[in-house]
Amino acid sequence: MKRYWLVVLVMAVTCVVTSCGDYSEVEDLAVVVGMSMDETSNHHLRVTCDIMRSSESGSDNTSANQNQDMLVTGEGLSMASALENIQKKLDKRIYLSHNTLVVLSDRVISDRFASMLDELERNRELRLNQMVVVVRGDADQIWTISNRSETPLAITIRQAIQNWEACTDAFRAEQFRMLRDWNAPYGVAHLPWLDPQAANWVAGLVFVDPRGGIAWWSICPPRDNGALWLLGDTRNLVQKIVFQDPYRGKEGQICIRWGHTHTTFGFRYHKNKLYVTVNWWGNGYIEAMSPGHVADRTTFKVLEDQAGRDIQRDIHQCIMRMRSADVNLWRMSLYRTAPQLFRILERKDPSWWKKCDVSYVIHPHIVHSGLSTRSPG
Amino acid sequence: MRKEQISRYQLILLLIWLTMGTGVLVIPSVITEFTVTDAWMAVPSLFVGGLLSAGIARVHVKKFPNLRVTGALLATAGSAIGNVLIIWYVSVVFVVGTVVAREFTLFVTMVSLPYTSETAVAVIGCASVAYIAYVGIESFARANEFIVPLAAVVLPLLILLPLTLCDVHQFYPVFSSGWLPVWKASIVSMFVYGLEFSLAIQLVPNLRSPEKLPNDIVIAASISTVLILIVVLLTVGVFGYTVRYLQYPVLELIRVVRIGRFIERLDTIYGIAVLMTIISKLAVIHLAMCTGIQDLCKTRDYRWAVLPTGTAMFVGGLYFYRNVAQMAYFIEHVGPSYLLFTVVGVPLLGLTLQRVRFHLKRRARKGG
Amino acid sequence: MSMTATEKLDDVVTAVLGGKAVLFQDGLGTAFIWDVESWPGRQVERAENEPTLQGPQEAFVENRVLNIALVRKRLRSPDLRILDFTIGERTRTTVSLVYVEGITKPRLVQEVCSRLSKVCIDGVVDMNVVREWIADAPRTIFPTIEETERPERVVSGLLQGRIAIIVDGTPMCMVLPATFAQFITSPEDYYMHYTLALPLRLLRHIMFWSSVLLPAVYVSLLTYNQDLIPTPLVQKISSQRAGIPFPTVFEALFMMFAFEALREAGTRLPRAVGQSVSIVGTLVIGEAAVRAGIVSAGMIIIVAATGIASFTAPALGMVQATRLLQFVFVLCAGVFGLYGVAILGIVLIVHLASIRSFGVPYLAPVGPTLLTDWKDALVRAPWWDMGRRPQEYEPMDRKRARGRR
Repeated sequence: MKRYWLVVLVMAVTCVVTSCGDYSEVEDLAVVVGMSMDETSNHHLRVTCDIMRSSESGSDNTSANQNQDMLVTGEGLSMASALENIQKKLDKRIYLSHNTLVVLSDRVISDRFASMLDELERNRELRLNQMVVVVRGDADQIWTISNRSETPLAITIRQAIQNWEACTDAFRAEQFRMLRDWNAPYGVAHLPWLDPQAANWVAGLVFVDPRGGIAWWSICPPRDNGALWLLGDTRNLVQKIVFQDPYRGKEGQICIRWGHTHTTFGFRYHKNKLYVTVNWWGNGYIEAMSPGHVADRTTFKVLEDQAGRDIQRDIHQCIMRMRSADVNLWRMSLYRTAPQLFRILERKDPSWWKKCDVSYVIHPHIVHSGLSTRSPG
Repeated sequence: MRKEQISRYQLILLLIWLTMGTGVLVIPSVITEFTVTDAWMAVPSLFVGGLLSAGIARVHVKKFPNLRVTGALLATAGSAIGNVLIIWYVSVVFVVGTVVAREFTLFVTMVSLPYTSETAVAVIGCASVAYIAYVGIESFARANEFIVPLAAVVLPLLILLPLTLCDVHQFYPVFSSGWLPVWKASIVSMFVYGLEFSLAIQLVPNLRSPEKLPNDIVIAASISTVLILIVVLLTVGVFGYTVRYLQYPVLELIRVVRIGRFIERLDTIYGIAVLMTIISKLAVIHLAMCTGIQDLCKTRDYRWAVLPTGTAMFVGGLYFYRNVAQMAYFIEHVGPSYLLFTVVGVPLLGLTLQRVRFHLKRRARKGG
Repeated sequence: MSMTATEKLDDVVTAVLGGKAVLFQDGLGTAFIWDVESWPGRQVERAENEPTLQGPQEAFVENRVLNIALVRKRLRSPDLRILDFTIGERTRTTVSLVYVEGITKPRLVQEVCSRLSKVCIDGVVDMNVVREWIADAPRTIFPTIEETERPERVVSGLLQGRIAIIVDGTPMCMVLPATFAQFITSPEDYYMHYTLALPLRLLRHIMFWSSVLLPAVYVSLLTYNQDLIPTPLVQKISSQRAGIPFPTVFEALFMMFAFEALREAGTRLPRAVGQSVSIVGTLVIGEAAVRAGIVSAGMIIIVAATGIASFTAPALGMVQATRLLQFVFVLCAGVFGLYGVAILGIVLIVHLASIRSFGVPYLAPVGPTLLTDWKDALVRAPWWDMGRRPQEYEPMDRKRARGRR
């Protein structure tokens, strides 16, 4: 029995003596909620951390800094060394587990995107559900946005992007989704493009092809929804349509809210030629209409026809844009639906997606409902 | 001393934890090394491995309804060769134990305590596993039962929440590279995790209804297969090809869940669940090893062996596999053949020896 | 008035010492002992340690005969059996073993009798002396024998197939075997509508585990697993903690220690003063400590919540166990964080599973699973649905009710 107690004692002493390596008090942590990464002219990485202020340390600076952010910048050859340099400037330990936003500059995207992703993935503290976004020019200019809310700036920006997520999956920018596209055999990653000067800070999307192609698409609904439709399903998207009134012969305007739209691609190979069919289906209702129109079956038919034409035009323009930007968004969809055909086409002519014929099947359906308002345009 | 016995339900639970313990961590990574889109097809191999174990158990309980593997080896191969075979069996169980012990320290170190010495982590692991082995299989089985209602609440939550992030397209194209990668991916789950079910044969004297052991192994194997299948489907659906670059895909799966503003950061719940299953697995392996040593040393009780073997298992884990790569190499390249030989080959060897001895004896009797 | 006959002089001496009258008749070798004793003692009063709003209010007193009468008053069955033992070489205390023949398993009665007959001590001043002699798992901190001061609780225990032990001079009664779930059960659960008993029992189960784990989880969240705290809360907690000189784990231990001291002082002091000490002490010292920057407000909330949670357990023995356990868990949290807490939790559950109370597994009916007994464990089924007595005690007569018709 004595021997057993001795063993228990030895175990207890070992635990107490060798543990506590990870003990750190919460007030000794510099909680990072956002990071921006730039590449300097000497090919160093400049990392700026948005560190959440605890309310007491915030009150020390009387009026100079009312917000919750503390920005600290460091440079290094890699993210790890830049973070080390930031750590030297702080008396608290940098804590990355609460990071929600990573802002990359266009230079980082073009020069070291893959290695950057690798570093982000390898960091044990970072979670794969942080958002990765891009800024044209210096990434740290994102922190110049004036923050009126009480939450730290990084969280405010994340919430702004999440508002877009409600409309389309294309803006779901968590790191794991982006990596899912990027690591797929023929995938293209897309990231939200932020502009500190823009109204909602969101300017559009950036497409990054593992082969090196980068495309910047500005997206500004309700004028141009084509890109969003080309990228997949959307929800609650507003579209403005100008139509010819069948009774009065005059032009009218309506605003349609597409409750749900769904886009798929069909690939058909016939006589050594590939045919792509874009199938679009949408269900919406009239949110606003210029006054004086009779909302009967004939008008709705005209409206649906006009909406179909506009949608086809928008999507077509986007396909042209995709081709001119040299970013192939169809490669992965074709590989998934018909891998054999994909391999044949890639072997024969890698630019098949630029030459193939595109046809459209558009099914807009506007709900005939008493709920549609007739408020002036 | 009262004989410790466990019910069928308790045995099935023990066997499920036995596979899930490290299987849920390792199987997704091992399978997706070979194929991603078709990863789910490789999972049923676990069930095939379970069937193989059930077959072996069936033969065993028919011939030796009250003996463990080690007891049966003694009975078939005689005292001298039987002891050699027991030493082999116990050594292999020990080596499997070291792998699992190393997985335990590695998991805790990577997930929660990166700056704490691995020795300290091993010490608490060793203490808990040794205590469980000390109180015996019956109490441990009851504790498992006690945890089930809690697991029944947490498990659906852990499965349903990542479902919202799943993308069905990640499973296409089907058979992108044919059957070969699927077969390669199946080997580890079939011959390592599937054959681990045969450890239950070492518990035969503690079973209330040993004749049902093969059925129980089949039930446990099918439940484990379904659970692992769900896990593989979720990890591939959420991460796609990224799954190949993740150390613990399932852990990352829970780490990325974020629904609304508050439902997030659930990884610790998952981590604790995994920790419980790994400890459970270790306890079963430890008991199998101790009872084997009991048969080898012909003692009445196994409890004297608990602390030395437990310590050896954890120390061995730290000493044999210095890093993740060494451990992964062992699991993928060494483990399957070792287990296959020990679980199928050694009993066959014992049976052959029994036949040979029987014939020799008969001939000697005739000659005399 | 009961009468016994004896032919032994020893019995006569014991009877006279016990205040009984002895009648000798010339020419007869038998003496008759008459129970005429009337010891000073108090009358039946309200239950103070197990108060309920509903249900009977009578409580046991120090008089064994009166206590047996209280039980017999409620259980007028000819099968009620009372076996008397005299324990204590000098105190000669009478200990009565009460059970219902035809319900209680005979092997259980034999086992308890054999354990009682092995008690060898000079004096039994309280029930606890007997309890410690006969209880299983002597080194565990968890109670393995239920104690109650409510006669109706004893009666329901007897009807479940359990055994009651009444010790002379103790206003309590032991009921055995006991399982873990029983210590989380309040007598009131049976006196209110079953739909209300369900959430209350759930609440008590949650509170029990909270009282063990809450401070430990708080300490590990603040010192090891900060990533689990929601981001806005990190900011709040961090500003609360700023300027506090002690590490969180010591802060927690210090506060828990102070709380326990106040609780102990509250119990020892006269009742009128005691209450004010506990309330004033908690409020004033807590407030002052926060203002002085010695402890954080969050820690006060956690320790107070833990204290309240621990008192939701109706059994005092279980409350004491949680009081001790929470210190061990906090120490473990301070050394290894949540993973340490989890591992200690596993060990605790295995320990609970390893305990048996007179052959009944402590975690029954969940471990081992006895589905019919779940009706009176985590939930309480309506009386008309609990047609069978708990199987965990293996009663002879399994049926309790014929079901609703």
